[in-house]
Amino acid sequence: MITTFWLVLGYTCNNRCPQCYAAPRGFPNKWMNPVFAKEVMTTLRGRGVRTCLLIGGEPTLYPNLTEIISFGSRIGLKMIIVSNGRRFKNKGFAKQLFTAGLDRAVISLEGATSSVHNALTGRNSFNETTNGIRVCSEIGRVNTLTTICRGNSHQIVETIELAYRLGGGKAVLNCAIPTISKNFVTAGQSLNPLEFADVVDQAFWELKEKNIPFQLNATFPLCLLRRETLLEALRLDWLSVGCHMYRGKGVVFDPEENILPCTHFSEMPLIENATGDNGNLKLEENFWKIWEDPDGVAGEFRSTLWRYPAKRCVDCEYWGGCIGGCPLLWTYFDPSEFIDGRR
Amino acid sequence: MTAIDVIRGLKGRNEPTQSVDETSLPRLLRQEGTGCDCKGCDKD
Repeated sequence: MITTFWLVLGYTCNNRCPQCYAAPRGFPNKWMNPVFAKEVMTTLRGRGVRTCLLIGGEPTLYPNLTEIISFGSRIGLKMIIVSNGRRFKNKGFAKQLFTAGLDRAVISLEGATSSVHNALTGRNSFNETTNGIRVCSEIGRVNTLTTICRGNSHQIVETIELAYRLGGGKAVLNCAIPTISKNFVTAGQSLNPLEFADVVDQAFWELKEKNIPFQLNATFPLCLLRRETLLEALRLDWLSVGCHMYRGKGVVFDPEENILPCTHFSEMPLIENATGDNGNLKLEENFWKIWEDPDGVAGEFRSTLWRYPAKRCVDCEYWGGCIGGCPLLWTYFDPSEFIDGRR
Repeated sequence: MTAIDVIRGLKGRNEPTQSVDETSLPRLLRQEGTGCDCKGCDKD
């Protein structure tokens, strides 16, 4: 059932992106125990899971990074790192990771200009990130990842053009979601779902006209796009839809050894302290029982997820794929306003 | 607060429904990967 898992190696970071799920907890300086990381990798690979994403915080700051990549690669995992790219400006560092077995780097490029990118990363990071993309494109494989948000929505086309000029593979777009913590929810850098659809609609036709492809992880309801845009984007295969949580296709492990359904639940785990306080690792024995039991906590979580957020979703031909957009949008926005009240 | 509490607290109509088998979806709506996942793209 699981195809992909994330290891949040640590929440610490050399950037300070306000839209990051690590921001509400203040980017704490705690790393994942490498013994735990290997236990997770062995457990999931043992049942045929193929892809491991290393994420943070900033995973390139993890002290045991090369060791973890090498281990995962040796046991047959496709190892991907999601990074701000700053450390990849160093060719020797990049070479070390790709030689250890890194399949690909996914580097966050938040804007086409230093002022936009630096504002969204909270640091003077633009030059290091763009150099990092360049270096990775020379040594290995790299995709850029741009999270559409309030601060960069006016320069999406320019950002994608820059990504290709730097040598990146297919440019990927995500959409910011509200900032969620155990104490509060704010819109943060998230646009409202209709604003996202409008930004994508406009960028799509401009990029198509220029014959510049992209891949959008569409986390807003598909019905908010104009129908001709939706059909053409699907035909071109430029849209990824849905959410892995609904079918249990992905799982996240964090540095506190919590199990999360998605990285955005960083303070709200599905299962706390998976290995027990005494450090006696039982993951291999217990993980699959917990994950696959329909009456257990993971099963209950998935059955709770399967809800129509709005009336229009009930008869919608796209329901099972679109699922009304990322459910975390509806921690802040009201789906009836956007889906039932859509144009 | 747990992950389930977050989902229970979502705004909206929230009428329960059955899970939809992915194989029943049109090809273009199936998740080849995991949807929104930061993993980049194999379709270079």
